[in-house]
Amino acid sequence: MPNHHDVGGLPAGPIDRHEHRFNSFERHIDALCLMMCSPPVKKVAVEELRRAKEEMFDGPFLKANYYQRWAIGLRAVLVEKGVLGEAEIDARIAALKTGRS
Amino acid sequence: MSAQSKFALGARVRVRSDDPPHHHRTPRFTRGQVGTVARQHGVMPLPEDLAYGRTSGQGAPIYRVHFRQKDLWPDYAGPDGDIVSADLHEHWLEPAP
Amino acid sequence: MSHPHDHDHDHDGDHAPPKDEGAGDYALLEQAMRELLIEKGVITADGVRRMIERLDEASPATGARIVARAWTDPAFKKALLDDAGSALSAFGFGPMGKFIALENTPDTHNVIVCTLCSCYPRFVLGFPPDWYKSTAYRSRVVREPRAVLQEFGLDLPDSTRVVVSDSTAEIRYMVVPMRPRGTEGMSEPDLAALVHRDALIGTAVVAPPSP
Repeated sequence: MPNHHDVGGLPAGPIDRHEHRFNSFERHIDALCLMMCSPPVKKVAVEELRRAKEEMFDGPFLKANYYQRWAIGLRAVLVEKGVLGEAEIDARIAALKTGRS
Repeated sequence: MSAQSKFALGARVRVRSDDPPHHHRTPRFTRGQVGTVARQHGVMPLPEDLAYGRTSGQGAPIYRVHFRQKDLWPDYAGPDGDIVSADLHEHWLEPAP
Repeated sequence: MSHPHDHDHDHDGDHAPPKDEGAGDYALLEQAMRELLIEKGVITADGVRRMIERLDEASPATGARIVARAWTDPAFKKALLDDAGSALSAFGFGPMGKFIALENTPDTHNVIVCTLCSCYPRFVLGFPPDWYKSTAYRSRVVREPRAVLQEFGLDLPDSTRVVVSDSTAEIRYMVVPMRPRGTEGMSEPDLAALVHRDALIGTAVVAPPSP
């Protein structure tokens, strides 16, 4: 098992204690993950999200921040479980981009 | 609930030093270490099951285990009484002398 | 909850802090998943809105109310420390899974962490602060808790045992800080106003009221 997430006791520097207000994306992805993991929806276990994030510790994941990683993890689990298709997610993202530009 | 628990309060337990390839929730810093059962949490589902979509598992007893800082880190600078706890499922634990 | 800084830096202190690049792409990914899940009937737009409202409403003020009640009602305090989940149901919260309240005393100081991810008692404390999720806090507080607490301005005597609780399972922890001196006779709401987030995590204590 990749163990990059298992950091207890490793050497580390000072703790950055800046506070920040959660933006719209962060609140939305948080809410979406919680809904998918909680009754009555409960299509996903929080353990699956954790496992997905632990397995993907490379590429874009390394550059992603905390909530961006949630988005990557949720996408992986939804596709893996057949709740959503890879292609339909990509198509929707493309459509949203076109709509925005 | 505690009737199903193999380890009594105060029992000394050693955490297995396994490094399995699947998802689990036993931190590296506790593995191979000896601690004391400080609380029995009853039976809870296994993350090893839930992480792979297996929701029909029976679960297993889980314990709050106290580790002395000085046991975990020989160079620990604080007093002897300082403690770290972790919540660990029974299959990760074995009796310790 | 105090949010003195409203800047948008990428937190989590994980190795290479990311630039803002791609932030928009992630927002689009979230929107795409949300829209598709709504269209398929898995979730509803109304459900998303209500969940966001719930998240926005959860705050350390809830934990503060619980602590103020524990300080003023010995029976509630005993119930809270015995079985926090049940005690809080009686206090008007819904069922909340396994939940343990850890009492700070002159002999024992508790502090909570999740070394494996970012588990946090969100239903009583709201969103976790970024530092709680940071690699630095998660790595160090189990290894050198007294140095970490000192960075937070808390210098504990050697006679106080430090107990760090790592939330490795689906059991959430909250700290019940010590009631400060000079608060005798204060009302429960006034006491609650003294209690702040970091005291409920255990990286701070509750200061006496300013004269």
